[in-house]
Amino acid sequence: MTASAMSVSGLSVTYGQQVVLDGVDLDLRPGCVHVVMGASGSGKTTLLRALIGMVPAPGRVSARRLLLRAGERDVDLSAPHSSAWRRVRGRHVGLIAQDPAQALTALRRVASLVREADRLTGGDAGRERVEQVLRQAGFADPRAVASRYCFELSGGMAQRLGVGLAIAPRPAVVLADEPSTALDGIARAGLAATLREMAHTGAAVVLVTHDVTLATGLADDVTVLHAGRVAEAGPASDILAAPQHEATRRLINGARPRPAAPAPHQGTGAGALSVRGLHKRYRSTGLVLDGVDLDVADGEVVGIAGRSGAGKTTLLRCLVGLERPDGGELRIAGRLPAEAGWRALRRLVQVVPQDPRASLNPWRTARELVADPLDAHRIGTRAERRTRAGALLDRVGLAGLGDRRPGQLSTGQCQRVAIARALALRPRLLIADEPVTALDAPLRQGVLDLLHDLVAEHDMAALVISHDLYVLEALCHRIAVLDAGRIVEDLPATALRDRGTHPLTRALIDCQPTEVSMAESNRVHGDRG
Amino acid sequence: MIARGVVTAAGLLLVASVLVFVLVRAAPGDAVDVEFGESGASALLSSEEEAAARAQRARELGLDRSVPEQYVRWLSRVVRLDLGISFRTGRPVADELVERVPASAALGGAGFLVALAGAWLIGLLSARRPGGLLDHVLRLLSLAATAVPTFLLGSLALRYAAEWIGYPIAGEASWRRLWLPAVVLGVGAMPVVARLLRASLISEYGRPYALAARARGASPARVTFRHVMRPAFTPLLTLAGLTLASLVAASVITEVIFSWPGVSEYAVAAISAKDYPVVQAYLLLVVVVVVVVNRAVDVIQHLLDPRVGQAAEVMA
Repeated sequence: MTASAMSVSGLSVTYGQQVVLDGVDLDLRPGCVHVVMGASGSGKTTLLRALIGMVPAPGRVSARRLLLRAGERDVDLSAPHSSAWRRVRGRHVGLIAQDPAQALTALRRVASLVREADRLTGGDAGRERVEQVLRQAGFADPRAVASRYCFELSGGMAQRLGVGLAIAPRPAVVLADEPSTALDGIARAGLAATLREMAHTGAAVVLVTHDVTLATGLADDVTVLHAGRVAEAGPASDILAAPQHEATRRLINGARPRPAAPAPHQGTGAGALSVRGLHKRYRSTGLVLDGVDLDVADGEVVGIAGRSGAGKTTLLRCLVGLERPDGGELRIAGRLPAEAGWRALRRLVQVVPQDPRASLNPWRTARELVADPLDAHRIGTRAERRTRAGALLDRVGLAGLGDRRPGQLSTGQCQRVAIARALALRPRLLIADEPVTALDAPLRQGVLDLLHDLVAEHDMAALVISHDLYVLEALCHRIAVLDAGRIVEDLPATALRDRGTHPLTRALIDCQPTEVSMAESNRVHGDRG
Repeated sequence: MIARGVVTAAGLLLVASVLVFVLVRAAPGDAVDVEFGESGASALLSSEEEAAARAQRARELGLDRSVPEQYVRWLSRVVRLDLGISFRTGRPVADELVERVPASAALGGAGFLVALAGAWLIGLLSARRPGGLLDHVLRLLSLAATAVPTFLLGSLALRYAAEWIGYPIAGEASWRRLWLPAVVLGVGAMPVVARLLRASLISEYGRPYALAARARGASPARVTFRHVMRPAFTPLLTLAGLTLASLVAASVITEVIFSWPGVSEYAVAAISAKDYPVVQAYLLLVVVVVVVVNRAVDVIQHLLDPRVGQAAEVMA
């Protein structure tokens, strides 16, 4: 029996009166993946920060025991503000950040970051070492990437570099912070494989996530946090198969939206949206949209799936007139923007943005925010606008919260405000950009149900953009797969899993299995373990 | 990018020159009034004689023509780099400016550097522990520096420096005399940039890339200087460029207080004498300096952060 890579008991973190973590015990065994789960506010991010000695300033950390295996000896890190942390950070504990592109110093060159990280962890930072690290991180041609600025890397490259920097010194403990939220399914699968491999080579991997799928595929041990305490902990097979604590059950049940595709609607007339051969090229990144064809009939809900960088966001920006396409034809409700004018057409197309909090002016109340499009288009009297805004807030389940500002609302509630705002103009087409990515698993189902019902009630068409196949299956009649600026597959939602043939479609399906196939893979994994 | 910059600058100069021309003439009285009033000549002449003499002088100076006509004549000379003849001294304005530009440039440049260096240091120190003692002290000092008018600070500094360390009150422009007005000038422009740098640094420290650098084992100093400083400071250069305009305003006062033989001091004398060519030339010079410096800041910013130019490209 090998000793623990890290052994923690009685770990508490407080901010003034507020207790964020309360007596957490954790035993990290080498060669194991340890998944920490919990809803937002359960303290899982704070736990991760505490495990690398980086709890932000006013926070106070105390622990009965906090021992880290550093090479041949154990280092005691339980003393508050231990200066020992700086000597073990990077070298013995590595951190994989949540959003890889954000976690690189944009204005440094790749080689410079690699050299710095290597020198900080005791390497010689020579040219060969830099190339070796980059090659291990998965860059086939290290020299080509070494001289690039970090901001010039694609999302996938940034992820590889971020992970590579963290694991190059072969730390005994690897911490990964909620890596699933910023990554598309395939990148997530790639990261999962890397983490698994780290564990195989003897590291203790800690993965913080609310993604049950990811946890199921990877975890040896699971710790579920609830309100700063350990709700339950143990081998993954026990906890995920037979959860005892209410918090665990809620996480697991809320994890996967149930497929509830409504009956396809027969479109009439011109349709809500018609796109033919849409092209868009940026001088910096080249061709982003390479001839997109897409139709959305009235009342139809169409999903756009694709990896990060496939052109989903650019497509959206073109559809709402924030970006002028370089070629192709775009008709909204049968009208060309050039003829009808964007101001008139924008009334017909409304967007539910990806990050609700960022899209809401923090100084305005929920009611003002929802009435804003009505104000902008001068619809009705002031009183009528307020009444309509109030009714919409009631409809999205925020009755009585009209006077709150975004800071006083949860992220889920903010998303509901954004949805109500998008509905205020009774649009013909609703575009939802990753509508639940910013939300915790338990909240997702509620928002998806709401969107589903509202689309049916308002008899509008919808375009849902997501990298999460489950989300699309829960909402859409039809799913189109976007890859490198082209629609490569366009099938009824119910037929995608059976009839999808494009390699990317298959890859998306493989990394997001259904209940049945997941249970199978669990059994295989269990046998092997 | 540079070609577009030149066109913008030329347009700006044209607009500024019209404003300058009209504003200078909008004030009551002109050079002829000043001359005849000053010399007391009117007492010796009959009113007809005086009127004739005034008309004669106005003709000499070109002031008898309409304002638009004067402007076109002036502009056509300026584009040939002829700034005209000073009403007061009868010497070419360009010659007189050239004599004084080095002193002003030295003072302005030194003041700008003091402001930037001071702001950098204060911003850095106060961002180290936000809400800490040092942060509070520096905030108070910044507030004080903003609140105290330049003329007061300058006068006090001059008085005590002369009394305690024998600072030479008058004399030629020299390094020995440069530092004090430069500090006075710099202190005025320092607080705004310092406060913004502090805020910018604090927000950058909380960004994922700074945390990731720490997690890889970087010391606080390394995080500050090798990761955070450049993204935090680069956007502030725009602001620093703009503070140059207020620096020019402050340098008028500073040059007068320290009797620094620069352009501003010369312009102040010209304004009271209604010496239009000199005032116009001075204002044009200021506009050129401000435009050029701000353009230079854009270029430096692009060098420090190649994304700056790219973003503009995408927006265009």
